[in-house]
Amino acid sequence: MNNLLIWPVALPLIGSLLALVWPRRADWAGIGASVAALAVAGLVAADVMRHDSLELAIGGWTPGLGIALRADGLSAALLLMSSLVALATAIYATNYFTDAHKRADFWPLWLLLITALHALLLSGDLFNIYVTLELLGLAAVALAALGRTRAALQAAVRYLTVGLLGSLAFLTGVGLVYAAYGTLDMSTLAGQVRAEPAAWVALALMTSGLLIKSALFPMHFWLPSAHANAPAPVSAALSALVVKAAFYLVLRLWLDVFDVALGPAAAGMLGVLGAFAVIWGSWKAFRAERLKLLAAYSTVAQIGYLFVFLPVLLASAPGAARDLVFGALVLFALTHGFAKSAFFLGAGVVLQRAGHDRIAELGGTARALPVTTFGLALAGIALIGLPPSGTFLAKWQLMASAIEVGQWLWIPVIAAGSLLAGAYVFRVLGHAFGPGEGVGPALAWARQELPALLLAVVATAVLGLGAVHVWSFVVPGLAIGGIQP
Amino acid sequence: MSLSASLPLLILLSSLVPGLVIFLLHEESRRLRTVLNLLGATVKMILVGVMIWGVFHEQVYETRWTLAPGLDLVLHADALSVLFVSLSTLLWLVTTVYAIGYLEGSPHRSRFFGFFSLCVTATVGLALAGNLFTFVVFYEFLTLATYPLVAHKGTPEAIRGARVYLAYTLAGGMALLIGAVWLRTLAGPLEFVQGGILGGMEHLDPWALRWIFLLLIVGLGVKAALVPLHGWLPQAMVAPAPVSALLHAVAVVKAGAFGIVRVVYDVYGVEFAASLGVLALLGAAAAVTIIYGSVKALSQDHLKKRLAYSTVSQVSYIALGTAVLGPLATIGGMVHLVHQGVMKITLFFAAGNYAEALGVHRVSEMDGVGRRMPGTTLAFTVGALGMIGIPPVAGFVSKWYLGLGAVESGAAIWVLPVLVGSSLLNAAYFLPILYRAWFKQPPAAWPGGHEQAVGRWEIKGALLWPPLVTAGLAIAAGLFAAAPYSPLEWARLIAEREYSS
Amino acid sequence: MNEIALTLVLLSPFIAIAVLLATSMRWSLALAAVPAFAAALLTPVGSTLELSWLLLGVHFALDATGQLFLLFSSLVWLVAGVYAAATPPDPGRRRGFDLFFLLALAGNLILVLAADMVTFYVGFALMGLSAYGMVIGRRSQRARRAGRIYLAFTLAGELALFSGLLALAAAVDSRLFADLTGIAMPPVAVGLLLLGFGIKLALPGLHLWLVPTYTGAPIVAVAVLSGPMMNAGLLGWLRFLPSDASGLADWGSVLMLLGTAGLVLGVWLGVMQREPRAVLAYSSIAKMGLISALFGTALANPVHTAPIIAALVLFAMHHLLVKSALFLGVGEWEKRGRVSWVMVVLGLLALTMIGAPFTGGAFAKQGLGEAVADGLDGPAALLTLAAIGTALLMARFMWLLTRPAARPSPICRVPVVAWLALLPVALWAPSMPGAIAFDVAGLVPLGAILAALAVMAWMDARWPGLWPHGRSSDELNAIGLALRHAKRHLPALEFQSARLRVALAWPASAPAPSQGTLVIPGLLWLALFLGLLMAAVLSH
Repeated sequence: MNNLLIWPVALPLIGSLLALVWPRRADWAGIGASVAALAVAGLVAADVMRHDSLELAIGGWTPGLGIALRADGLSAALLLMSSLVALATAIYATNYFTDAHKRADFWPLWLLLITALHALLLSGDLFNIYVTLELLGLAAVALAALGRTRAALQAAVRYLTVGLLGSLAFLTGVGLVYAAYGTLDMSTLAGQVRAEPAAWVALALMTSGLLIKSALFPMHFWLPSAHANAPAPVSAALSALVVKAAFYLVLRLWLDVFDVALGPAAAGMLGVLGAFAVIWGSWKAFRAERLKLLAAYSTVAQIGYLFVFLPVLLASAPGAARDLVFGALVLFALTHGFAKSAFFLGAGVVLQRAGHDRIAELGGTARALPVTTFGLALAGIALIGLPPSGTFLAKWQLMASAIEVGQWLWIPVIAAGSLLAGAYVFRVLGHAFGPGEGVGPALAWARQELPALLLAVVATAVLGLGAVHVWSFVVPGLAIGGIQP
Repeated sequence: MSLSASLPLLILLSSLVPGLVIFLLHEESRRLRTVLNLLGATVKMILVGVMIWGVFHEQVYETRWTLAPGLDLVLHADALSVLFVSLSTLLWLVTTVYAIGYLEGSPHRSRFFGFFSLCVTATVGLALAGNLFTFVVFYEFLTLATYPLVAHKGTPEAIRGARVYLAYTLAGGMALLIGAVWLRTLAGPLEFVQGGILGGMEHLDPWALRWIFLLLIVGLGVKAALVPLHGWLPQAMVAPAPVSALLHAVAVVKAGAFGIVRVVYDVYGVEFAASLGVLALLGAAAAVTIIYGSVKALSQDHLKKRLAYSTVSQVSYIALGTAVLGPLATIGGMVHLVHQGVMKITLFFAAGNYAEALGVHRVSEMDGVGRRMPGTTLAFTVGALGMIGIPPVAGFVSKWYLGLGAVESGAAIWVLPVLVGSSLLNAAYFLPILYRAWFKQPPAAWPGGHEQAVGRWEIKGALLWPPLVTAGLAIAAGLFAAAPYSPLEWARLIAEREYSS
Repeated sequence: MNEIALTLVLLSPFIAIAVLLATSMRWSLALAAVPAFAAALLTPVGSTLELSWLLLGVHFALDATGQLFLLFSSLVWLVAGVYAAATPPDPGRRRGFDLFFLLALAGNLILVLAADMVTFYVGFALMGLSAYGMVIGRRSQRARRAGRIYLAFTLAGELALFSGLLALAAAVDSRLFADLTGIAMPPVAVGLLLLGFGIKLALPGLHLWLVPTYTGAPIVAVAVLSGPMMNAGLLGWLRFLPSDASGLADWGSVLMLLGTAGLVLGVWLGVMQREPRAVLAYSSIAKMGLISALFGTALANPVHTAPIIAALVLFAMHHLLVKSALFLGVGEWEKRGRVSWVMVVLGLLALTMIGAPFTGGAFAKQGLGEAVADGLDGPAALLTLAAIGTALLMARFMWLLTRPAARPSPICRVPVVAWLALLPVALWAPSMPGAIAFDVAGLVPLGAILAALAVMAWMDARWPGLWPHGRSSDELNAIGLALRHAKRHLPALEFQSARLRVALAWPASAPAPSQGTLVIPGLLWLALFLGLLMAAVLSH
């Protein structure tokens, strides 16, 4: 069904409007829209599996004049992930916001965020992407400011300013592309781009803008405070989804549109920055005193990993070798999405129960909140990259491909990053299993603990054991199967 | 799935499922927990028994699951895996009984037994791993499952000890992972084949293979407590006695040693490894560890620390047997895998009993314990004599084969002094304990313990029988070493199949 | 039938242990050795027992040499068992001693009947280590020190033995003694075996444990230590170093040298001792030195091997009995002092020891003399030297016995009867009734002993305080004192040895003076071991 592609965008938008109009039933609108969006995302994914990609020209106008929506394996996978995460977070959020005003503010913005995200994932047109990117950023800033504390507002303002800078750069790049090639549709562009100064400058502009949005070192400075001071559901979405969207765009641009214009040096540069991000982010996470700050810095590190994939990806021979790395990349992104959201939701539970999230005073959490601790542990395992999480397989493949293309530099980076991640995750767990009453007495586990747990289980078990399906989904035609000795 | 495809998976599930269920149990549901534990252990033993019979008759058991393109999770039963699996299963059953008795009345028992079962699952998975990838997966899983056990008591020392443990094992796991990835990239997907597979691949760069070997051994050596990677082991003594017993005899340390055996025999192939020159490195590390561990043990007054350093030393016998070329040394190393496990667990059970019944943690407090707790001390004596290598306890048999293998292969010049020196050192740090226990007068009052004597028995049955049973096994393994179905005969089978291919 | 007999012999100590633990019947100590004695007399030579499922596969056999060893050893164990069983026990301590007694007996029986190397080693280890439990007996300061020293040396010996065993088993590719005929012995193996058994036989340099042990342990322990256990070492040499193997000639010469040194050492130091036990200990050293030297002769001269060894075995058996009997007698002397009939019996034993005419000792000596007569002047001279030396030692021994004992205690009839029952056997075995020989040469030692006694009496009358009583100081203490003296003048050495001492000392151990006793044997042994090893390597 070709019309299918409009629904992932339309449904959250309708929900947002409903939430705005009926603030008292905003919860229902939110959950309803999320469930519907998930269902549709599932359908899209199923369709993509059958047809390899979908396309929808809105209003029947052909690309060039009209706006096209496209879905292939990559975008369908990310779409599915974001709808799942969004649903879980939405369920959590119904219990999180006790204040009616906050709830009235939250839902419309939240659903707007989801709309923008889905639209971004499905867009096939550069200007469209700009619009959705902008919308995403604004919604994110507004949600980040919902914390209402001074720190939250400061962080949100900084996010806004920096984000605008990024968007501006991106827009300039889009303009340049239009001036040089006369079209903004990505599939058309793909055939027309050559290795020439215009393409390079445009690519540089757009990429730099996106790097700011995806918080790659050294452009990451806005992220920790923004994510740490936002309410827990918002942080989950920001870390798991929003920064991922920016990276997704980098991937699209580099792989699909500007691939002929690229050289290994550029990818290498991004990889080096990613390496710095991994080390720096992990180190800062280790030194963080608050749980949410730790999670935010961990996001910086994990984004770094995603960028480390790039040089390896581009250096691999096109075909089976590159497909393997690509699948690993997608797996990593997906797993991180689930794991980070699970972590933030769990941190949210802890924060609500204890009134603070200072790590050193989290003694007794395991006893008081066993389900949440378990969820945090599982999420942590995925963040470190230990089996049976999907990140483990992704890292394995990354290292294998790095060795194969001779880029040995990344191996110690990955090793160091993993070890530091182990350090900071187990620091938290160590305190959680320790003695103390920092979190209050044990109560029976509440419904709000469940989303975190489920997300974590997906990250660590489902994506770990079923990882093959990611590959077969994202790169159809890849020979999966038993080992040929 | 046919039996041959599902048996390895079933063995894994027989401890995984009870473990997961136990996590959900209420703290007070003692009976259900005990039933689940013992049921799981018994089912596992039965399944392992079936597997032993099958492998002996050259039946193939394999479970395969594709995790990623080109990466299969393979569970495969061959003679070597059966050796380790049967050791783990048997000792798990005994340790479960002991742990039930030891932890009675302490908090967080459901959590403990849940992770306990996960730990055994990881060990069994590791034993049954059919390729290096699967091994790495379960190796890391083992780290995760054992960390909460080490930190169980929740005291600052326990958390600290667990942190050190984690730091070492995660780092080691990383090294192992990098080595495995590199090897996979270099040589393609490799399953464990008796006799090794790398020897036949001539196109591989020997220097790359050497570096890979180093990485693998470093990674495995952390868990196997090779010097200088052993630093976590004495720190991990803060764990409760059943955990120390399991960690030292069966799970963690043995997993590392087992990994070394696998890498040398079933990945590289022992003759190929010897030609690369890497066996010399392994042998040197093993020799240094054996002597160093024993020397450090001499100066420890804390009983569990002394036993910890003794483990450091003894497990390297397995590495030593691996490093010496020749079937007899192989037999010695592999049979020591079983023998050391049984003897060491006896010692730790006894140490746990002393701590629980009398509050005795140090050697200097052990005057006259033989009078107060004769059964436990008898078990301790058997274990200690076996460690020294006095017949007919099992340790003698392993040392005999190691020595014989060394002489046969011409490596005696450095192996024999190591063996003899370490036996002397073992005597030097075990015999004084025995002397104190049996020949000295007990003090007027013991430092307080938690357990009371039960009627005529020195301590309750769940704590007394396990060490006696394992001590009996240690004697039986030595006394009946030449009988069929003994560990020695099984080790001979493995060596036969290894060297004939 | 024979297999059942052998099984019974081997199992009886364990059955006795079970009986002892269950019923505390101390006569089980004596009864444990009865089957062995009976079997030695009744079971035909050549019986075998094979249990391939036990340990690494055990084989037992009774051959001619084994029969002799079994007979004499079991007799001594029997008497010692009666002696121990009848002596009233110390409160609370006795059970340990009895247990270790039976274990040592078990070990001894195992090794005597063993037909393969591993079984021999098992028995040897069991015997040696169980003796520790006997040695520390009453847990006095002296006994504990004796136990420590004994244990250190025994362990060292066992480890050397283990290494030698491995080397031999690898070279021969079999564990049976029967397969050891006519092979080329690897030098390392020979060296280690000589070393390991040499510790048991108290070769010079390796003998440092003997005197402290014999002076510190209870008398029953010393009786079995000096008799059956010491000769187990000789059996070891006989079993492991077959006479027709090649490569032993050089070792034979080394052994001759060491043995002679042992003889001289034993006599020299023995006459200066202040305790009867110590004199007997040095006499053992001397006698074992002689035996070692003669064994070395046998190895070095293939022509004479068989006759020498045959005579040697008889000689050793005779010594076994007499020495044990002497010690038991000394036990009586210690309890009751200078009782006349005890002195007479001891005197008779001393006479047979020196080979006075009409005694079994003379027969044994004569046998040896005949064996070495054929062109071996060195050994023959050695025999003469030995005779004189023994005479001197026995004189000193008798002299010391004339001093009063410390504290007389009441008589126990049964042990005394048992000891006396040993007497005729000791005096006249192994000679057969008709072969008591009269040899002019035998009068020489007799004369020597009388002369020495006269000299000593004169010296004592002349200078009364010359040989005061008290405990002997033994060589280990002397070495320790010397080292400490040296350390005072060499501070650097102190630092190093302090470090070494920390590494080797047992934590919270006995007071300072005895700390030196562990370092020294360990170092000595290590030096010997390394020296042997290097020698073997360089000669390869």
